[in-house]
Amino acid sequence: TQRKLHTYNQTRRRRTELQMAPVVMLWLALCLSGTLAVDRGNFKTCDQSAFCKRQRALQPGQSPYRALLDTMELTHTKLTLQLINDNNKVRLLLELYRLQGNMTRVKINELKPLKPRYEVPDVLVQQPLTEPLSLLSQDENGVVLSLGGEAQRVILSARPFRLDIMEGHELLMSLNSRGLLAFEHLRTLFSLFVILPSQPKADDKVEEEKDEEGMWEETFKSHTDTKPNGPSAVSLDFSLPGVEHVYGIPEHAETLKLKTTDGGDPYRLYNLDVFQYELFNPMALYGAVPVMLAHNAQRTTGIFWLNAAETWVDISSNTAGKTVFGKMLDYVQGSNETPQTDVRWISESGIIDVFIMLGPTPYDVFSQYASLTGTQAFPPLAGLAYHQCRWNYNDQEDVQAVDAGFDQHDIPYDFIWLDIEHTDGKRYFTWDPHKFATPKDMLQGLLEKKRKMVAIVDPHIKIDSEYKIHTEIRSQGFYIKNKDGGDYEGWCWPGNAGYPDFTKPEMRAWWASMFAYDQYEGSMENLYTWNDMNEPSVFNGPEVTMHKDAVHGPWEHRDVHNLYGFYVQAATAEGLIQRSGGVERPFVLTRAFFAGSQRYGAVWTGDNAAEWDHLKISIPMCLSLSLVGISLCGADVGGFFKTPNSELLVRWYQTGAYQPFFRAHAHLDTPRREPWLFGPDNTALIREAVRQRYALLPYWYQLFYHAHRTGHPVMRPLWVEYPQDAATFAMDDQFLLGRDLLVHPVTEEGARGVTAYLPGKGEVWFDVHTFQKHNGAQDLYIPVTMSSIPVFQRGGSIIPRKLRVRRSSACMEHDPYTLFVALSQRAEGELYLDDGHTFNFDTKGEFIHRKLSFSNNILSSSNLAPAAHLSTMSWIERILILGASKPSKVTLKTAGGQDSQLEFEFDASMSVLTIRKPGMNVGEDWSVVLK
Amino acid sequence: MASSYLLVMFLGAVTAVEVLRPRGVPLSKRQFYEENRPFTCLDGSGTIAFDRVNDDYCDCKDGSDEPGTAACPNGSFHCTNAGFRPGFIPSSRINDGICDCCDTTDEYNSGATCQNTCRELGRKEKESLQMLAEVAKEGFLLKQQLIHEAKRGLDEKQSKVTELQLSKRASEDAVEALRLVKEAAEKPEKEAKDRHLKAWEEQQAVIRAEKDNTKMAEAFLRLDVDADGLVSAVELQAHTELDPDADGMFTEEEAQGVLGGVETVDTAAFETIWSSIKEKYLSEVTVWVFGPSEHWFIATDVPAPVDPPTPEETTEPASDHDSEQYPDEEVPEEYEDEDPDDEDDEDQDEEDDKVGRPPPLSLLFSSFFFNPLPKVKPSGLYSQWGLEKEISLDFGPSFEFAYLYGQCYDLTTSEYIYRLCPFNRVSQKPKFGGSETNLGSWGSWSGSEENVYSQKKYDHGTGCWQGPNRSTTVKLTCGKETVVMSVSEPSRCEYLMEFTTPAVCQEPPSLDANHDHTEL
Repeated sequence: TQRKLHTYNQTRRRRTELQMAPVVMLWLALCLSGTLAVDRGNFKTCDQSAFCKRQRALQPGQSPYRALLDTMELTHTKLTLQLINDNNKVRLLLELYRLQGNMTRVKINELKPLKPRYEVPDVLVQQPLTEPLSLLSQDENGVVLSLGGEAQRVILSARPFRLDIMEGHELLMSLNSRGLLAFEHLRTLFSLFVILPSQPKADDKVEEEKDEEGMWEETFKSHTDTKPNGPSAVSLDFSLPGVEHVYGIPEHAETLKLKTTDGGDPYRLYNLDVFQYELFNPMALYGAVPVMLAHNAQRTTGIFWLNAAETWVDISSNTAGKTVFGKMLDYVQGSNETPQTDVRWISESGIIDVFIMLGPTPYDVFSQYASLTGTQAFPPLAGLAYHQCRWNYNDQEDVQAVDAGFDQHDIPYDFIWLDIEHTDGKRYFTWDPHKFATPKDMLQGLLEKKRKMVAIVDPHIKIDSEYKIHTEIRSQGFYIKNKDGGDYEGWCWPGNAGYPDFTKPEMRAWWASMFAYDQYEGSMENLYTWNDMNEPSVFNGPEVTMHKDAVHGPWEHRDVHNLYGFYVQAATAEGLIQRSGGVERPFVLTRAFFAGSQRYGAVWTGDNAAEWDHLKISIPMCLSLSLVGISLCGADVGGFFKTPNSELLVRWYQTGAYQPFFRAHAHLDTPRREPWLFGPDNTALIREAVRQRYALLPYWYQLFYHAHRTGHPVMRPLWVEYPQDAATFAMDDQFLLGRDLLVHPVTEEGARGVTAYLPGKGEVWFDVHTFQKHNGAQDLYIPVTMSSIPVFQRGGSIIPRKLRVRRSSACMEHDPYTLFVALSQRAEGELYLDDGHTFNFDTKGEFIHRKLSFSNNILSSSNLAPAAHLSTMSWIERILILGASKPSKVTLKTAGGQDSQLEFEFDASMSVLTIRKPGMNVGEDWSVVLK
Repeated sequence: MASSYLLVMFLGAVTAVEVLRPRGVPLSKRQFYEENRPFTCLDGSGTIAFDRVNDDYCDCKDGSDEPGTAACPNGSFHCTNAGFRPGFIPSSRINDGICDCCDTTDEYNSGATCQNTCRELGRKEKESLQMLAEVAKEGFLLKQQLIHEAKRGLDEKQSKVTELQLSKRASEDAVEALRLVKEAAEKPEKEAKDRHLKAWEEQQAVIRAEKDNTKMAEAFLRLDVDADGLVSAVELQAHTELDPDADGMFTEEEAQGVLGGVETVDTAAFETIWSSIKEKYLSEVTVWVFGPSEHWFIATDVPAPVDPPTPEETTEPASDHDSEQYPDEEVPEEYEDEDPDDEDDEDQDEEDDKVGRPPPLSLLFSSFFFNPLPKVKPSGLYSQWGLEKEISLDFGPSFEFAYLYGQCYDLTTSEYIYRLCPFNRVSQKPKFGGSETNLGSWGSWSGSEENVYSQKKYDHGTGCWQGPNRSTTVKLTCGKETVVMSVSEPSRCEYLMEFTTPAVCQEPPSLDANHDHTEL
């Protein structure tokens, strides 16, 4: 939901604006007229952020850091040694770990900090498992360590300090190769040592202290950040030889392939509530995942910079400026400079704790990262269905009318959402006594249609002595404190608000307990939760967020900022689990996020706008999140701000239907846009888009089961599946769902056709609408009408669908499946099902997981999980084999041994064989033989 | 799961009580589903063996082979609903665990436990139909009265317009006559001149009285900032020129003193104090938000059609003199219009004076009650303009909506008081203080083509941030009383009002006709 001070004012004043003196109106009008795009002046550039400016001023060169090899200790889990800054003699402690699954962890902290420096807790799912390191060689220049098999080595150079990771003769990655390691040691205000790497001094001379601007205090706009701990930034550079494509570090409104940042600002990671964000720039947005992937045709690697403070990432490349012609010239002239990408991370506080994921395949990197931060939460099936949201559905009657509208127009939906106006004066966990006087009646009405609701619960708490949530948090001392020790207060929707300290485990446990049915009045089992504004958004705070000198126990907000939203969602999800006694899977949407947020639910791309470019950017924004573990991503369908025309709205539904989190949402001030308000033709188009989603839910569910089990993304850039096809490396106007569906949304107004790239030499792709077969490794022009967007099924795959689309996903539970077998001689696929909403799949093994395969004219189903069990009424009602030849006979063999003849139809024009009603239960072993 | 669909098929073929036909088929289509004969899809797209009807597999493109199962995406299922109305539901609602048909027939294999509610629904529907019919009956009678009255009122108004036109012509004739008199008077005939001068002075006195009345009406309206029909001491305080001791501190007590020692005065009381304040009163003190003039015209003149003529009207002076004959300067300054433009606007002045009959204060007052102040001063001309405007409004095919003209209806919610003044505007006022917001001015009838008078649209209300100007749709339903039933804001700044009025009541059909479509 949009959110910023002027809009906040406007919201509050909307109905009473005539009360205000004309001068106030004028002020408001001036204020508001400038809000069509982000007000960049509200947010810092690197130059306005003292530590970023300071760090970025360091130029590549000789590093002042030297490894003290005589301090080296090698145990079977790690290597430690000290580094010394020759300028100021401050010592750092380096820890180097070899982690299971082909990862290396590099930790650098002060050897003896004045006080402890923050190390991010709770993000790693466990203490990473180590593998032994062994010393291959050592001399006065450095040491060589073996990283286990595959001839992987780390070369640690002593003077200057530098790490190079090799595999065979290939250099995979270098650290501090440009000498940009910087570690602002903690100090007291009156005895300063400063790092001056550019002016190396004689060994024994310690640099005079030198205070730089912004080290102890900095002011942005009217906000002063007092810095009682002084400068504390850390920075390190990474060189990636052979790499021209890097991805990730969401959240930015940016292309999939990250751009170089030379001459502009670095990519910024600092969770912020950005009003009307601009596209294609490195500004920070609502969430931050400090993970970057690097890819070339040979290898994929990843860097996970585990730091929750404000972080900036610089990217430069030695080929970035070169044109194709320039590269060709290099080639002709025999100039064989290897392309290289250099990356530099700068964080305001904390330590350097970096995980180097060495791949080598994209899937290896996904698994490596998942082993550190966990996998995607397995959402309830309904969470993958269609969500209808608006700020706001006004009252219970409105909810009922919208619900009835979906039935009247025969459009399925699973969740209807309530934004902030449903509460009693923005007091979360309450209901407006007039508009939502009987929430349980409303929820019961939805329950009877097997539908659900999401109500918003934001983390800012109205300061009101009559409000139980507030009084309890205050009395237990759970609020974040300001620098002077009082409860931090800021402005948000309710007016003056406190912000619970979610970094405290006791606070999170208490918060979770508030979701119990007897605590959260009016809640029922079909009520789920949405955490918005959890960057946290503070309307009157610096950059619309919290003061960095606010205090979380022993830490400053500065240290934990990017983690706040992560904790809010984690505590909320835990609450939803606990209220059901640990049985039901939660569904929680968050706007702010961090590494590991995938474990707690869904993420959306915040307050976008009803513009074609925003529709376009929903693809790279969700792909970037997918690459760093967050698969359940979506953008507001239709665009949050402004009003889409019917073409944009239809196109957005068609796109959203093929993106993981599929929710329509709209700003309070926009006209209503329920799917039936745009004339019967558009209603029919939207109905068809939503129905395609519902028919495909079995496949979505199976992909999320996989994401949950393996950490593999659901929505994938093409290069992930075709890692050697350089044509795919920068592609972000189309994407894959799993391996088997390729989606090319129509994102141009008035488009009559699109050019899709069908990857894979020797592969074939089938248009899912027409069943027409196309060859891979080609650009294919596809004429389009308003009726659909191009979607292709990969030859060689089997996709189960449920074609009996009903009014909600739960209504389809027992329905039969249709198998779509797309042949490329052979085909393979899976079918997964469980009860759709509990943890019993995990705790009791209650699920069915089948492998479907077609080869040698036999389609068969075999059990992938023999230990699991579930009885289902679902059966196979139809099998479509695309690219088939006409059989003379089709026989079904089931486990019981009886053979039966099946009827079939063959469409020779499209080579589609339709097998009529084979009828076997999906849990059975069976085979269908074509003769 | 082979057994489940067999069961379905089995059940589909034999259902007790009803005329034997496959499940989900309405009686009207029974002949297409003949047992043991091949079934041809109703769209003719194919022919299948009869045992494929309702066998839980979709064979026909139009879904007609599976009227009783959910197999076809585009099929529909017929519920007989004995005791209530029969109906169709989409096939996708068969056996989805949700009871859709009141006779429970849609959930024959889902495990859902449905109660047959048809009789209950039938009873309720009958009751509500009866109630509606009663309302409609009474409402329809009321409507006939309304039509009758409206027609009478219309005739009156038309004749009044005619009369006004005549009187205008008469005054033009009088002008001509006066011109002749003037010519005659220019002759050195003192007697004639004296006579004429006397007549002219009398006429001036009348004009002055009219102007004073007009000014008083205006003053009242301007002073009555909150348009509650009362001028309060607080409202008066804004007019510091009225401060009795002119000490720059116009206190509430002083203001009360001006008002004759009370906190508020109504129009009648205002007339009594007017003489004491009119010398000092300045109209341009307050900043006013003006509505578009066309709305104002609607707004200003509302002599209620059925009102008896007021004394002022009956004692209408003969104002046949033409002021043009005498220079404006001769009219005392205080009677000059405040609008400086009026000096150039001679036509208007002329017209004003010629028609010469300001609306009585009480009428003006009621018509101005909730409306922005006029841009031009009220004058007798409004009577004619207003009447013509009123007559030109679309009051429905039989003028049944005419009675709403000039009326306002309130609805109080927890936060706001909403006010609907049909043919004028809709407004919203916070219950606990704060100023009024215009939710739209009368636009047009906006119902469907079949019944354009079922809905009306008010637009061009106060603007919204990043949004449209506020507008209101009013839905009219038949009721004995004229009441605003509900107000909602389905979309930001787009309001929806439900309004009952006898004017939309239709002659109710006889009740017996209501239930003959119940099957069986």
